[in-house]
Amino acid sequence: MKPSEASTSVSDGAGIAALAAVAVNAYSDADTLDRYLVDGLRPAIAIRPDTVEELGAVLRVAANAGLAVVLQGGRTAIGLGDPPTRYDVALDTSTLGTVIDHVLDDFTITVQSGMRFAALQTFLADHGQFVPLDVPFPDQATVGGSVAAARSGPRRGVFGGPRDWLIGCGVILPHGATVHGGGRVVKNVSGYDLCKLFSGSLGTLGCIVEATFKLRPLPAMDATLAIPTADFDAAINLGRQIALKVNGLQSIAALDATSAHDLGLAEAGLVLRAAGVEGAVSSTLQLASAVAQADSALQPEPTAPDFWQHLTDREGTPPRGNAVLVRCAVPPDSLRSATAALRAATDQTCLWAYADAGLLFAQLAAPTSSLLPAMVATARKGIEALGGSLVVEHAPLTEKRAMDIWGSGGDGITIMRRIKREFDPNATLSPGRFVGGI
Amino acid sequence: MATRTLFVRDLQEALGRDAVIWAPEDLLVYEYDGTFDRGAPEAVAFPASTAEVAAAIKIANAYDLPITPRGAGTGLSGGALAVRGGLLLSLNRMRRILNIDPNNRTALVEPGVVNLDLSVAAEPYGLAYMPDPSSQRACTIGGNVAENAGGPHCLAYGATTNHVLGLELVTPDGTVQWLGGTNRDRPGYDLVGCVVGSEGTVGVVTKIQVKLMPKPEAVRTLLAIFDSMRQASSAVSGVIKAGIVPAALEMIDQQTIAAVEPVLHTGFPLDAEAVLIIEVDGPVAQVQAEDAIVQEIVQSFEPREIRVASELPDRERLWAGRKGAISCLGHIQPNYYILDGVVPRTKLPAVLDEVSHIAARYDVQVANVFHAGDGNLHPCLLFDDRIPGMSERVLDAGGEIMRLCVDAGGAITGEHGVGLEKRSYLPWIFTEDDIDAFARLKAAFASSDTFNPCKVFPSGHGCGETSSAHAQKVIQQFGADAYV
Repeated sequence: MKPSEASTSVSDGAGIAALAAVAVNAYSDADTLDRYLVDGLRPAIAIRPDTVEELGAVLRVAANAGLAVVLQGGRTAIGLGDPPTRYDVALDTSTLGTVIDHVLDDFTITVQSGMRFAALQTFLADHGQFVPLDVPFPDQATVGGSVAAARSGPRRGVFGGPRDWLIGCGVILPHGATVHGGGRVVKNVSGYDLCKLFSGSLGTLGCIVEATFKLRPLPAMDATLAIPTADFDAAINLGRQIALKVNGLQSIAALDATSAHDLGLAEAGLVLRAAGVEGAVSSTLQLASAVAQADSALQPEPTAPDFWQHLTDREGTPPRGNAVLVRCAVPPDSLRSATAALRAATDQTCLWAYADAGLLFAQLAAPTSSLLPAMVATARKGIEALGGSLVVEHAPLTEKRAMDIWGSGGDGITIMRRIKREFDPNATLSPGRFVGGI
Repeated sequence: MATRTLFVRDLQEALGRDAVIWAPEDLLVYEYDGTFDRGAPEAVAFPASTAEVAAAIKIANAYDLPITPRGAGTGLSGGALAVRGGLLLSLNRMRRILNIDPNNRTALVEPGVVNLDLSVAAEPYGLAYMPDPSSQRACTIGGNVAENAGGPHCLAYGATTNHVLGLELVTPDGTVQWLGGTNRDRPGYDLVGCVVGSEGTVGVVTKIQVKLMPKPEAVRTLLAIFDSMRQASSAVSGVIKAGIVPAALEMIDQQTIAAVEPVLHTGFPLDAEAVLIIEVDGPVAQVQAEDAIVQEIVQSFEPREIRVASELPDRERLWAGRKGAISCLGHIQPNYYILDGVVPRTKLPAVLDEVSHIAARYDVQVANVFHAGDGNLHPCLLFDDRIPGMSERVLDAGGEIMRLCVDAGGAITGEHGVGLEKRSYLPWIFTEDDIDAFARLKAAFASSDTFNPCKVFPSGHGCGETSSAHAQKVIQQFGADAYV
């Protein structure tokens, strides 16, 4: 079910006034509100709380007044999901960004969720540590937003996603209660694992205000090896071979020619990353090179962080023209078939994949934008036939309304809907944005 | 006919006569797990399929009887005890490995598959299932999923939750559903992540899709004997600070050495205060490089002796004292109570000191076995339950040690679960609002007060006084076979 046009609940003037009364930084001028558009919709008010208490009060008042709130941090993934069915309040967490506790020798850190992801990594790098997650546009993206949108990048096959590193969380629920999951210790099975529930929940259950991560030491050495291949399919094939034969790689990224050009490489191919103690890194890449029977002139180079960041950023970059950006998750060995399934939906593709993780990204274009919804449906059918899933990360606004963004939530959708009802009974948070209209 | 008779008859009709036991003498063995407590079910059912699990659940629901799922019964928090009677659902007949997919590095298994059996089955493909609780020769994957089981090697590889991709779940209303799949990044809430570690309170897992990982190309185990616990702890900190993430970082203390040495003849000097095991694994070059760094660091803290091994039989010899530690404790005292606490790892030395003070105050012997790398400690309280009042004292000392962990910024369980044993401690680390959120999550799975009742949640109806009432017999019976 998708309304052709969502609208602001105009009858809620009193609710908006009540909000303005509890919020210190509340904005309702057109210029500011234009910075908080979500899928073209403008909220009635934008609030940037100075404190977590204020944020809680705003949520409670909004929920009681029946207003709809879209939580946002750096807005780098704000295009993800269906257009909200209602949108009254933009709640901006990006001012709540302090480090709460960093226990150096425990390798844990607790931060407020509005901290920019890059700021977190810079802070940690000074202490020789990092959170092993790659996030698109980390200068903008907040920690809370990255967790809520389950962002991760080329090292996902090895390090997993936010769910695998978040060991504690503080979340404000729409009725104003603050709940905690996990703790600040790296191994913990006390209570239900709320960290898993809120990771990837896209701000539909509560507002993450605090996050504790376990950390990794920065590696002594980090190297990258690019191996050109005839085309994308060859890159995938080689990537799969290497994934099965070479242990210790952190990224196995396959790029088609267009993706490669965008990243400053001459041709389609495979880009490998290894990190760790010195001797191990070069021997891992040598082994990969041998599997590839690569030209011996190809040598690993010290990793240029910008290259991998640009690759990660592509996951959050809207494609140009009549095109969508999709993320496909398939069993890794089905990547070739997944590629074929996408090509069956359109002959205009730009593709890249993480061969170890079974993640395939694609910009899929159509001659006219009206063809996009059907093209996405065809592509998804092919991907789901492989046991995979396809999510539309970016689509032109007009077509987005006619498109199935998430695909089916599977059997779990009934439980997911009940979870939504339990945690957000008034559908205060991002109504209609998530899977199955949640 | 009595309700119980009707109930048993319905179960037998649905599952077959052989698949249900109800005679009191047959039920006896199902009253226990690895803990102090006890709970007698009305009947135990042994379903052989998902459909039979669902059928058994629906029958119990129709009689409004409690349902408690059970794996191997090795649990150490009472999670598998039918404390309010009713139906005990044993998953032991569902023990098939349905599929091993070496190219996608996954396996699909039934819940009754024994943890170690999966790694054995995966070995011909050069793969392994990484979570390795010390009970892995007996415990089942289904139980591991319920408890989010850990093990020595979860330091580097993560606990069960990091290795489960998908589940078939029968919810407490008898509905069957597939959650997750063959990989992550599926749209929607992370229901698999919610189910893993929910201690069998939101449903019965009937199939599990797990991640397999390549067996490490090389493994190097280092054992170091230290005169003082402080030196050993400093060596642990030194290794972690150096940016090495070992596969395992384990320690035993002097009291444990005293238990192990006479039985296993490990050659540990009785006056040493700590034995530290550090294992690094991975590609050959990495292991060589890391091993050299680890040895240098450990040497700098002046251990009395260092032993290293690369080949499996030699490594197993080094591990013997750690892995066999618990079963040796019975040689010091007839009974023991294993605790499971977790603290920030930097607090371990101070917490261990305080643990020994608490034990002294209660006049209970304590032996420490712990996962030093992740701050997960297992103080074992050793005692003789024939001494009147002793078990109560041990439980009190245990409670105080748990409180100590919480006060040090830790938590009440690192890998054994809250279960029945620690549910009254839950409010030490979670607020009423937190626990209310757990309850909402539980409700979303259509779970009720009759599904695995009296577990995890601090309040419950009709659970009675369990701890200490039956403690003595249980300890006597299960002592030497408990695992940690």
